[in-house]
Amino acid sequence: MQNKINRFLLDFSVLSIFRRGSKNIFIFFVFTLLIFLLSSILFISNSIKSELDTTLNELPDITVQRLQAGRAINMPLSRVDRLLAIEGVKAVIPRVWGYYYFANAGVNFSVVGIDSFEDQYRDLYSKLCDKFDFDRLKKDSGMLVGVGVKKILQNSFYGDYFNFVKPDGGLTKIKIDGVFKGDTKLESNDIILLTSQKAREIFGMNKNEAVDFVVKVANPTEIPNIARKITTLYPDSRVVTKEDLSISYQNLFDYKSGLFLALFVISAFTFFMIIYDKASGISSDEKREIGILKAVGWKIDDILKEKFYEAFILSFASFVTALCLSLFYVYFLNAPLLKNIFIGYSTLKPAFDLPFAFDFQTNAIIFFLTVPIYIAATIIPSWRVASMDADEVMR
Amino acid sequence: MKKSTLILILIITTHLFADYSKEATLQPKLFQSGGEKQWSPITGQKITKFYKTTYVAKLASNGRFRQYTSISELLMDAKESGIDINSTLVIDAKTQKYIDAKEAYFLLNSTIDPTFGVVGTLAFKDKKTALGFEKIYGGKIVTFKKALHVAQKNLKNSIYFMSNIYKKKLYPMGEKIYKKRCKNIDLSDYIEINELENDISKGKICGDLSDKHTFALALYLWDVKREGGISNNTQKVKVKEDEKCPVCGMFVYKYPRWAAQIFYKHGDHEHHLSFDGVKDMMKFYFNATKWGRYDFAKKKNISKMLVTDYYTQKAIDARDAYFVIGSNIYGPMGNELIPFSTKQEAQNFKEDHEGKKVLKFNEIKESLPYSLDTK
Repeated sequence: MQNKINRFLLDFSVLSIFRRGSKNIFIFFVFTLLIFLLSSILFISNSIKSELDTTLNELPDITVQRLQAGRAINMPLSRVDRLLAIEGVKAVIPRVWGYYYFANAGVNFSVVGIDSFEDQYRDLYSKLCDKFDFDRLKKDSGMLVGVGVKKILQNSFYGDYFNFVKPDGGLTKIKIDGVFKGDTKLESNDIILLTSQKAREIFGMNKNEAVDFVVKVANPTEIPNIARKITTLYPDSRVVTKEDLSISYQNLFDYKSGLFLALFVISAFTFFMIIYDKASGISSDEKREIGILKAVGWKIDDILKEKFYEAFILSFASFVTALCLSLFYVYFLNAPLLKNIFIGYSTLKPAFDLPFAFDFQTNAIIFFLTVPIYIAATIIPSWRVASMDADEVMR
Repeated sequence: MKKSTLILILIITTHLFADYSKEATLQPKLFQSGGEKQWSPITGQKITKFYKTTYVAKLASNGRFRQYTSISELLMDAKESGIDINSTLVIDAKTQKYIDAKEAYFLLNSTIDPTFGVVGTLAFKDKKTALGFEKIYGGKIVTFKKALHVAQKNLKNSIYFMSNIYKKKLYPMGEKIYKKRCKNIDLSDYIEINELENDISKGKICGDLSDKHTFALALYLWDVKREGGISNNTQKVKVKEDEKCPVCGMFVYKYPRWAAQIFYKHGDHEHHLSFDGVKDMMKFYFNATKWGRYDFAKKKNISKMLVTDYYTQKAIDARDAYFVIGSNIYGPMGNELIPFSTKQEAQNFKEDHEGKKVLKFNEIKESLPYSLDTK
């Protein structure tokens, strides 16, 4: 074991790093910056990928809207039965939802009305139905709010109730019965959940109407066929299948990740330029040092070991620093500037926060792309010099 | 059968259904007695909600009034408990007054949603009013006799249509309510569904419930709980990750949408083999030893055969299933026998996907799976 890590060599390498302080600080700085850029890019795209996956998973098999003059209007509930009669349809769930603009804080809440005895179109809602007592919610006309909503309401001094302004100007006072948290921040943050009667009241909707329908299909092969049947049955409807939606999401993502790839390639290229520069030559100072070391009796082996320690300490330190920095930058600061590239994506989803998705593989890739290469680029020229005669080097 | 399915499809596809409220706008007249008078004794639908399509008839045995929300229910009751069809009264959709059905004009199959099933009627005392409605909502004006005839002809379709809605929406909803709200309910206390609804609604045996929830709960209790039937089969065909199809050697778990299984019982233990499609299962079923040393796999040892229903993706008994061949839907092994739990579904699939034939289990010959391979 003693043989493997020589403490004196290690000592020497640390001292030697400090001896060439300004040069090493520069390398450390550039190295850190590049790895920071690389890993931030990969973190963001990973994060968005995982976001995309959750979004796609949550998408309903088929969404049916009713169009009039090209705009979506409310669906009469009487249409549910006709859709249920189509073979292969598992369930039809009328949705009552919408955005409520809270002028005080300048934000939109997503108000969702559910019937706890109906099939739910999101896992989150069925979980909440099991967890909270919806009978009570009905009785004292309460609501459940997401964490973000709670915070905003509290800032406006709405502690345990909120007054919704109805379309006719009247007020509906709703008690806050509970606060919930979803698996991802995105899916639950801005949501207000209440009974569908209350949601209809807030939006001034007719009790025989819903905003749109979600159609569940047991066999995915059958989705296009069912979508076609719905359009034939109700020609005024717009039928959006999971596939349509996921293609548009995917396109957007692919386009954006193309931009990221370009950035990635540029920063990787820069990195290799620097490496090449370093690998192709070694300063006369360093040459002389190796020569002297040889002259005082160091073996080639020792010199290479010392160089290895030096390179490893430097590159690993920058790698860890860069990783921490980019974690902080992406997940704590939410990637300002770089995230702006994704502004197109965020128009699809208004509340956009990067979810934490730490992928070991990505980090391994970054590690092996940088640290060993840098070490090699340091050792190889040193070895070339070390294998020469000491007097030749010092001459 | 084929013709009636076609009619069903025609009815469903040619109309854009209009929104027309059938709810009572005047003080409704309820003919039955007791608290249960608010609901139809046959389907349990609320009378006042579908007031404008209601019918009233007398029981032949004791002359008591029965009130229904649709013409199909009238026919169903005529068959079940015997009513005097000549005594039928029908509501005038315009004036909301009951008139003699024999003298009324019936607007048949207009764009207004039928109350029950696929045949909808609206009755009018005045021919002029009827013609006025026909102009707006389409359809055809007929006599009571003709309306009865059409409803009778489509009764099976109507019931099938409703059973889909019950199965997919109301039973699951009723079950949820029952599990969340109700304690033991003795269903033998009730002769008709509307009595049960009365107890749910007025007696509050399951707490406060809206009309919609009352109906769903009553229906679930009546059709599913009481009958004990409609086994709420929510199971899929379960396949472990290491199971290979004995015929083609592929891993079955990768194709859960096509999984099929045969269970063999011999001696004191039972075990099963999984297949990635009905075609391979049938090949094995007819000649097990062709595919290896499956000496136990004799037809007489078979305890259960499961296939995956194409539409619901649930496990159904292969021997009760209907299979479609020659369609444009392919399984992991190409051309397939695609299983369905009902003949209507199979027929419907055959029309949607250019199928050639609907077969029952015992109509499948040993040579058939092989002939599917060559196509």
